[in-house]
Amino acid sequence: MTTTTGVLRMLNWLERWLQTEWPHMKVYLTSVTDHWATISVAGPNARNVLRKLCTDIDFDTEAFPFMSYREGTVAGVRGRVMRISFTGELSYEINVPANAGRAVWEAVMEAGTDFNITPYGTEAMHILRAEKGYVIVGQETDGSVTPVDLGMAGMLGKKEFLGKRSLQRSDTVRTDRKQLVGLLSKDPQQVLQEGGQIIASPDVSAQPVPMLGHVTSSYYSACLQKAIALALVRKWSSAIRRNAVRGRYHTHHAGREVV
Amino acid sequence: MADTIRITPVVKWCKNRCYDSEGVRLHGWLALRQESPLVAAKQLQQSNAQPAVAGVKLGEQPLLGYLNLRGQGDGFADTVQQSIGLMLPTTANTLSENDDHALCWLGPDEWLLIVPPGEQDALASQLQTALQAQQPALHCAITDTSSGLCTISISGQYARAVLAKGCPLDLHPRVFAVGQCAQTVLAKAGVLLRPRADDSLHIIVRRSFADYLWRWLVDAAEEYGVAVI
Repeated sequence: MTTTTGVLRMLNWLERWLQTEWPHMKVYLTSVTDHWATISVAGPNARNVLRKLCTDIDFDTEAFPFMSYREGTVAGVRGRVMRISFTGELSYEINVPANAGRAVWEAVMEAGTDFNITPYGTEAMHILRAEKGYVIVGQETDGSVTPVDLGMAGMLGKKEFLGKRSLQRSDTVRTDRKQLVGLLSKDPQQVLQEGGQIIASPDVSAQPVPMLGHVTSSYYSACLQKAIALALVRKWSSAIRRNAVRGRYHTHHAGREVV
Repeated sequence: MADTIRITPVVKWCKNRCYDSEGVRLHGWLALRQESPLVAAKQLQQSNAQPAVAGVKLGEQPLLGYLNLRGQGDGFADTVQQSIGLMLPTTANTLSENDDHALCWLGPDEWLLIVPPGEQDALASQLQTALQAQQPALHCAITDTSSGLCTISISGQYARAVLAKGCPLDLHPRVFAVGQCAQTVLAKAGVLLRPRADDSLHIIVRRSFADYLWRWLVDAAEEYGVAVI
């Protein structure tokens, strides 16, 4: 499973490794992207909705833990249920053959009536995941950002894996690399500009101004009733740390203190 | 459900449950309410007036079963043939077929098996069982992609002329005839073309391109008069 926009790149990447590095492996790759429709059911009542639609899967936390998947029958359709989350809440993804997608969608909506179920779009999902601090690869990251920079070192494989060497290069083990942080505006109504540069002081008379990082995602959170943002910021430099403690990060665009 | 293509002749729907004309509840695959990816585009066109003279007719073979077959060697070919009664074509861009089934060559180790609606599950497990029983073990894969593909039929005097507007292949019946198939691009969409007669072809396209391609075909065929059948 990959994201919709990543599917071609991912298939090409798998074929490349299969054909150039591991031709001895007996593996066939077949894209089933168009075959499956996916419905994400997210929120505190997600489990209750799924239980109404599917009786051949045990939805207890222990029986069906986070980041696992089960096969079963949802609203009468053979499919797969994944416990993964884009929003940061309790969340399941239902995969069914796409020809039955509308029938299952309508069954989900009907089963959720008791819980005030409502469709949500990608903008709502973006805000929900930013509240949780979940990254979007390609938005919080570019090709230079490592899992360690994102605070995900604990999720790295313990054995060999592709890209492991990259994490041991002199540049990637530097201790002053940018890391993912959350930002709050001093004025809670001030939504920072995405892409805004983070600088140590609003005084920009001495140029070039050293850039410490940038805002990667920024939203107004209706739930928290304040502006929130994610940013990549250089860490562990003592001056920056001092400024951070004193609340003196600034964005270049707004020229306002933000932390 | 006006927007639902029904594949059983007489069924009634009530709260996602399916009943036949006698009021008996249907179960299993037949009871699933399934929908073609062309549901919106076809409605759009059917609401338009049909032309007096139709040089092109567009239609759909809805909700067929599609199995992708991967494998190599005589053992694989023999087992597939014995299991489904169709010869595995080894000549590039050809297919073998009987009544409602077709087995299309896609590559040296890849084929597409097209079957009538609802047969894919049973055929897939039949093939799996037969292939897994082989000694020594075969390296092969059977993948159900039935919801991922869609067949548009185009027929009429100008059917090939319409396709030629968006396809780089030589589509003349002299070089592209019944018994052949070809993967190509049609109006930038990846498709599998399958001639059914001199003036009739099937276009097999991925679900996510189906709506777009249908609308392109309607537009491209307009000058010849296009009827939706």
